Amino acid sequence: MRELLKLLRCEFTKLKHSKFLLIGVSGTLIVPFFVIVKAVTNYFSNPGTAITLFSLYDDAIMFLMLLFAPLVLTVLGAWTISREYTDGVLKNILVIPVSRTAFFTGKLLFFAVLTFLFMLVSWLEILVSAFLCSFFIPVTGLTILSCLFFLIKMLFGGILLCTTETPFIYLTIRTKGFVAPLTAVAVVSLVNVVLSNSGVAGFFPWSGSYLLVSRRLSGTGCPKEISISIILLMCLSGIVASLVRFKREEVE
Amino acid sequence: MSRYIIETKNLTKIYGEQKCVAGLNFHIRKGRIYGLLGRNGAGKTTAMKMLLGLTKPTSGEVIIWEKDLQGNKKEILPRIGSLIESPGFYPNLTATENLRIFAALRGVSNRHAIKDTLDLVGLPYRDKKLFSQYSLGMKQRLAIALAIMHDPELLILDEPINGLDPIGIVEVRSFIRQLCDEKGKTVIISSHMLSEISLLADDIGIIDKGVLLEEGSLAELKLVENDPEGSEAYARRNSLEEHFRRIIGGEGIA
Repeated sequence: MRELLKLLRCEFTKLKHSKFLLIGVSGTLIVPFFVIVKAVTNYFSNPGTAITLFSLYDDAIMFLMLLFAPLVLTVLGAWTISREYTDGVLKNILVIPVSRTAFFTGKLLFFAVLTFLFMLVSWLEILVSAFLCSFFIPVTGLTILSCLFFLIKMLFGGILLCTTETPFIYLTIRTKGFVAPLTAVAVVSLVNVVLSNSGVAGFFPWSGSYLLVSRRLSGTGCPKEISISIILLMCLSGIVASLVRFKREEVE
Repeated sequence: MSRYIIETKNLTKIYGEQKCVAGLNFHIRKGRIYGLLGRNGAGKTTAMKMLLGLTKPTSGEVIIWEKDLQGNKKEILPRIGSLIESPGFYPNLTATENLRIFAALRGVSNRHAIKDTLDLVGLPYRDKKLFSQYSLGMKQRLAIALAIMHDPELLILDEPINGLDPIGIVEVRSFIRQLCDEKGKTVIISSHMLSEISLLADDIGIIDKGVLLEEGSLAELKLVENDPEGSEAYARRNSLEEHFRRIIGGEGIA
């Protein structure tokens, strides 16, 4: 555990002076911003209807989980891993008596922390924006309990986002670069959009994750257990394949 | 007890159909500077990577401190410092921040290790300059700093003077000599530059097309003869050059 914390601290040190954090935070702010803009525009088009906290978070979760978060998180994940290859640091890392499994686990842990930060910032931005809007236009459902409810939902979404990222991590390790994982995640986002109203969406791990978080899975006809099993199986395969590949890695 | 700190037995590396290193049998003695001499592409770097476990040998063994490297990495690697090919660091960090990461990962307990090492290689401590803004020479110095920061007993340095200016070369040379003479460290240094190897090494291995053609001390190879009309260094260089050219041909060396 101590070693993992040490690795995690090192991962954060590696971000110093880079524009990575700025880009990451800006990326995080985009979806909640557009969700708020959409809600306010709707309100002015139909002044009789109030903005609900539920609809704000519901929209945010949909855009984040189906489109935006996989893209941003894959960029961040691919960058943190591929730079070890492209910057030529791996040869210095592999001669350090830290096991490859520990090093890889440290990367996964770092990625999980980033994902949770991503979801936490999104949750906070919607909350603050809704609170500020409530001074000018009616916002319903703005209670501590509902805020906590959506926080848990967003963090649950974070867990599922982490689990569905492992294939992209494998692709990064396999190809030692950005292109393959980014192409793959773009395809996945596209499939998410295509499947969004389809009955088979629950069988596709990425849209299945969204349906689980938004509690819409029952409407698709896909049993919950099947959807969860597919997600877990994919997550596990991604981790095992990445680890096997990384352990066999040679500095050429 | 073996006389050697490192011994390799028929070390071979094959990539696809290309035999990069074939049946290497190194014998490296404690407290000596071992110069691995060969042309570009002779197999020096591949051999060094295998000594560090960065590349798995296709066949053969690497014995370090009388233990097989495979299976004893956790015990062996902390006692080794290395520099392989071009210096690799995080470009967005300063030298101090880069070393801080590796010190944490290596578990370096000496709080002054980073400052002392940077002083030793002539780089400023807590400087704001990022690694990406460094010149090649500064990068090379930082790579040497990383190799020695944890005070290893054995140094494996692949072309350590690449990119250094003439003063830097002299400094690194005398620094390596000092590490060996005063601290009893063992150093393996590879180079395609005859002059460097001839000035620095006690023992020499000549490698060509992946094969170790010759190995021994300068004296054993009869390369140390004082030229009555010149310096010993000059005589060493000339005799080594002659020797090298004789056994592998003369192109690709400096």
